Amino acid sequence: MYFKKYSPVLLLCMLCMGCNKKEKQLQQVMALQQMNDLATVEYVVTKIIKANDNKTWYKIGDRKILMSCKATLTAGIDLSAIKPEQVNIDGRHITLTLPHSKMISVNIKPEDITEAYEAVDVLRQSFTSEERNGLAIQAEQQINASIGELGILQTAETNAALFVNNFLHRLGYETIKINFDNLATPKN
Amino acid sequence: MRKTLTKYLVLVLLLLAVILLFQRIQWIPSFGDWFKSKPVEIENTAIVIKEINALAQLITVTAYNEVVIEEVIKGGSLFNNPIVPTLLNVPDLKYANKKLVLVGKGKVLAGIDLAKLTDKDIFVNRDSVSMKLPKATILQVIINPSDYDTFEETGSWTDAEARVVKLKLRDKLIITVLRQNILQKAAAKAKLLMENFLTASGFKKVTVIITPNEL
Repeated sequence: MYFKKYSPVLLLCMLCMGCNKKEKQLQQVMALQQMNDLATVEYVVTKIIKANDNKTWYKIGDRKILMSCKATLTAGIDLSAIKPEQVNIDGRHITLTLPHSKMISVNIKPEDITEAYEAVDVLRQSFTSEERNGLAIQAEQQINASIGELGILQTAETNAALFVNNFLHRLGYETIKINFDNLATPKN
Repeated sequence: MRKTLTKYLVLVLLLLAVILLFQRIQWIPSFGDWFKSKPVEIENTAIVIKEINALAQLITVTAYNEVVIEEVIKGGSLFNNPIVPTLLNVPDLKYANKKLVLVGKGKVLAGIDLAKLTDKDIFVNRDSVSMKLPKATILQVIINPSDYDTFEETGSWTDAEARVVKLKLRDKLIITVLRQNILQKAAAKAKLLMENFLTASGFKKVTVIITPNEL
């Protein structure tokens, strides 16, 4: 009788406590992938990783860390995107339309992340390797987010045009005109 | 008596249901969150461009792989001098061993450095071209911080010690991908790519040779 009367309440409780685990999608990658990228620029950027672990109310004492991080960003063009109709040859004159530049890689080498300073209070434990790596991941995310502001893609296009120009000149072309595909947009 | 007890029970259950509901819609933090450590967040510091280098690297193959490395550092003696335990007639006490097991998902980019191409490597005669490309090499090995997974960590690992383990993991990744004949595949693909490019550039007879890799 009582159970029947208050069953909606119990049901609500059960619903609230019900689990909502989401299954992670499995990441699938090919072991070997063929590419057609011409890397034309490399930016070496540095960043200071500054963190202070004093936000948990029940942890007494501070611990802070300073690390320096260097990342190498590479950008270039995808040569496979050049279609035959984008090459126009007239004797010793050539007009070539190149695809817009794209980011090829962001590389943060282990030797490029170094701890500069660490201060840990008596009641706290020093940063573990995993925690330091966690901070480096945040730095990596911030670097990735700021790629657009660095101007690397524009430099990659300038260098690509220069390289292709020199290359075609070596092949005997006298007048070389290089354009960038206006239909495609640069991709990060 | 029974009625009163049931009333209280229902009241408690209702209160619990309301709290749980509010937690679910995130009006109040969950019980677990009260004692959960707050994540350590880094400040958004400036990114400084140190160098800009022009490249001419033809990347033709990317190899992805996952490698595991286990490193143990045996704990040293508690006594600075090995004679001390004997003199004091006490056992030679040692610090606990430190263990770090890392899983790294990395990628290796291989191809040809076209910056090494010299004038004598290109020979043009009317509509024929002959080119000798430099040998295929590993251009980049990428295992970023987000690519590491710490499977086990016991003891206190200093920054320098952990870095040594990560470097060993990177070396292991290189050895693994070299076994997949990445350089040979990169060379073959570069040859094909250059032949196509030269054909598209108007040459009728194209010969591309690649400097072979030492075995």
